[in-house]
Amino acid sequence: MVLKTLESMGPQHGYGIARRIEQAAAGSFSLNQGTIYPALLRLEQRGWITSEYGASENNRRARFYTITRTGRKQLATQSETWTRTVAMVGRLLEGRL
Amino acid sequence: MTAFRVWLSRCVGALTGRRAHRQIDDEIETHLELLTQEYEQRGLSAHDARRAARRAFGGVTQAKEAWRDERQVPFASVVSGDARYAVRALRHSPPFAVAAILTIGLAVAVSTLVFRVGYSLLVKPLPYAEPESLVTIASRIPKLPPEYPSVPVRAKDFLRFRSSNVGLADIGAVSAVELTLTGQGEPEMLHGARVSASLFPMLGVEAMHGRTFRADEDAPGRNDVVVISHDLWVRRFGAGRGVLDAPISLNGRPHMVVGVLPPGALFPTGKQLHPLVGLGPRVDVWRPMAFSNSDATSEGDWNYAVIGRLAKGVSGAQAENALNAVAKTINDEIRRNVPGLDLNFTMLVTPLRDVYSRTGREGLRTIALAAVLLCLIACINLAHLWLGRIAEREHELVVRASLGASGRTIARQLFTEAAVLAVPGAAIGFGLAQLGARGLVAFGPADLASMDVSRIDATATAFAVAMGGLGALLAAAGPIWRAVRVAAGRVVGGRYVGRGVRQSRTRRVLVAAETAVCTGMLGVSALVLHSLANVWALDRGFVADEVTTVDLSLPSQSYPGNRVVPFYADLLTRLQRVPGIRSTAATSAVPLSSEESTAVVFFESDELYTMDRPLMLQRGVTPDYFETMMIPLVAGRVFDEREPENVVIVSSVLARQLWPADPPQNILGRRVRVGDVKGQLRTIVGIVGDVRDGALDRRSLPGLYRPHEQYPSRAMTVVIRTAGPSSAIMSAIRAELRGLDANLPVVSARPMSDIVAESVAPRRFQSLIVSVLAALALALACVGVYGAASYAVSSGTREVGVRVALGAAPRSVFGLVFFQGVEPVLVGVALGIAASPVASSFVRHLLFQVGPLDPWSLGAVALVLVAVAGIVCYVPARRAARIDPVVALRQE
Repeated sequence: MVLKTLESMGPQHGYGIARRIEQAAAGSFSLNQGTIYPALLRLEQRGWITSEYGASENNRRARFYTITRTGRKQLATQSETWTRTVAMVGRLLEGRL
Repeated sequence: MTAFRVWLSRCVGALTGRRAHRQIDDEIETHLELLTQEYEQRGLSAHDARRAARRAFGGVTQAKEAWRDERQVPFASVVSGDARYAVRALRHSPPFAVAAILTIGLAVAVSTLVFRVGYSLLVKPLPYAEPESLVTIASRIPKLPPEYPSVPVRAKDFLRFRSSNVGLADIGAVSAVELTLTGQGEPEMLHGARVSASLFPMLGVEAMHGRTFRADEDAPGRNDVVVISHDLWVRRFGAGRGVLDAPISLNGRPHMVVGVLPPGALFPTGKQLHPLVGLGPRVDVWRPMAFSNSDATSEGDWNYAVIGRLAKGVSGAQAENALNAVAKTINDEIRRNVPGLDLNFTMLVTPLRDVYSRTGREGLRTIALAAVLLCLIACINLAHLWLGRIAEREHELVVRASLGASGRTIARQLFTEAAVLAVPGAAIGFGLAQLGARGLVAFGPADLASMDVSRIDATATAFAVAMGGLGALLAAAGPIWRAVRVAAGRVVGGRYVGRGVRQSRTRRVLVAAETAVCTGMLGVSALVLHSLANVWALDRGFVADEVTTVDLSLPSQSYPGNRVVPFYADLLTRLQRVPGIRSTAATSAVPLSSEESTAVVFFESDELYTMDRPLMLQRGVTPDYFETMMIPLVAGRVFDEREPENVVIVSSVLARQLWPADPPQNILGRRVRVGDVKGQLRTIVGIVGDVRDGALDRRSLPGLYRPHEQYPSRAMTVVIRTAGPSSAIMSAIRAELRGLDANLPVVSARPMSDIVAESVAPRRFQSLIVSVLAALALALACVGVYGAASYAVSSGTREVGVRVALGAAPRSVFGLVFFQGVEPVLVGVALGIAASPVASSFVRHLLFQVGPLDPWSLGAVALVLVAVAGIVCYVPARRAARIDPVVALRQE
């Protein structure tokens, strides 16, 4: 979800990503916003996003995250896998297997 | 690939700590501010907005921790946190930390040292090519007394084996030789060896400069070539390359130096190769063996040590069988040629490694056992220390448990403390081991020095570390388990209920255990020292005090046969005139030195060879020998200056072996033959007291003496009995020697008492080490007993206060604490004594006229331990008796 957000929104800082995800979920689940940071670190360790300092809206120094090329590839693969899984589950449920 | 990336960044993350923490703090702060802004925009007050922001964010600390966890190698953060806490905790109680570190250090030092020596002696491969297939070969003559389980090999047998197919890829002979170096400044007597030309190539030893021997140099007339040791090259020739170009003068004849060996070359020394082949304390020069015709055909000279290399795929046993097949043929030939002589000798094949480790192996086992026991006591002491520490921290542990620390967390933390202690402990232990190794090389027997134990290597380091870690953790394990249980509330801590002055059962058991072990070690040490004293007190048959020995060796070139005897006679006459010299004589061998001249004695009536005759050690001596050495004359007379007829003097034992039923007086005048049944008849003119030979603690061969004109020897030892300290006389002796022949090497004089001491050197060394370890064990045990008693007093202060307040006399309090402390010691001593037969079986080889249950030794040990325990428990008991009830009861 973080990857998707970054892909569509471009470089964002932690607050921006968390906000977007919350909006996208439209209240179907609420996650503590703080949990985004370990997740961001994990993604950065895998090389799917990079980060650098920039100025935020309130003129504070903030870390902005960008998706990388490997990240985009990962996103594409994962999206595909997800789509296929959904389709298969759908077929199962409809009894067409 | 991804996994690797992750792991790599985690490692980096683990190392770059603080800056990153500030970074995440910053980031989260920014996030919170933006969130707050958002809520403010929605209409909340600043205060409420902030609260809402925080709620939406979730736990800041948790987020930071989760982030930190992701960043580092998972376990490391926990461990490093624990370690830092541990260091802080230990800094608060230096006595505990210091005591624990020293204890660990001692145990690690002792075990590392023993391990290193054992490794060098038993495991480390010898510095030869393919050392596992190298063997030594000796002959075994069944009829010889058991002191001689094997004898060296005859030259003719060696040559026979070399030309037969006996499963050996190669074979080489070794014998000792002494060469006098002249013409290069101070003349010097060098210890050397004659070796077959094939020996160095077989061992894989190559010359550093030049070469080793060629096959054609291994023949008489072509063998005036030598190889020298690196040490000699540096010492006498200044490490100059020119040494290979010009001949040097050895024994008065020019020899070419064809090669210099590298510094690490290992060659047997002393009696390592065979007890009857006495190489010098160091071997500095080698000559080709070059058997002469008489060497190669001699029937009776069992003189040559043999080293061989097993052929590929052939085992030692197979080679032995093959050699014995050839030996059988030789025996049959002997039986045919000399009817009645039944030698029946066989061959023995042993790995070459045994040569170097033989003397060390038994001693090593003993010392290793002592080291293990010492480490056991050290562990018990560590456990004591831990028990005390846990008990002091019970309050803290209970509080932590109630605040939510799990048993596992507490255990993990305490183990980290134990591990933190182990690090400096192991380091100190390693350093001590280095010192100890250097001490061993300096003061220990020569075998150890040659085995290079002081060099650090990876195995020893790893071992030290492992030992330290393991020991520290093991010792702490029990107490830590108790700590966890205390924290969990399953064991009621003493603080609030009040522990008494009684020591807990665990402590009493521990004290009893370490006392038992200590008793065992002291008992063994006492037995060993008692044996040493017994050996030392043996009647040696001569008086060594105030006797100085000077070894001389006349080079054959300048001293043809007829000049040898007059030289020594001349020298003795001159020495006799020196003031301060009471008497002086010369002998071919002093007591307790070499055992090379052995021969069989035959009756006058014997006509055929038989091995059923006594074997003796023969010496050529000048007339004053018996007086100088103070060997008592039992019957008859000593030699005169001139003996026109063949005469001998025998020792009492030999006389008794020859004629068991006859009194000494009757034996005088009888005649015997020495060595050869067809040899000359020699009349017995005197019987003297027996002299210990070989080694003080071994049964010695009887002695037979011949006048030195009748048994001349180029190499003799001049013995000098002085009226005072010999140092003043040395210069006079040197002057006389130089007056006679300036080219004779001036060998340093050795007091006879040194030679006597050296003959028990291995026994003395082992006894010393065992005793040192036992003393250390005693010291550790004292610390343990004291600690237990002292702790009982400090933890039971309240109880004592109550007792005194209720009317107990100080004396009864004293008694309570005192006997509490001493009781487990008594139990331990009893156990230790009961186990001493088992313990002493490990030092069986050192016992001499001392039984394993020797009452004197064990009694002394028990007494010492109980007395020491009493002294050690006295102080805490007195402290308890002096406790002021008012202060005690008020103490929280």
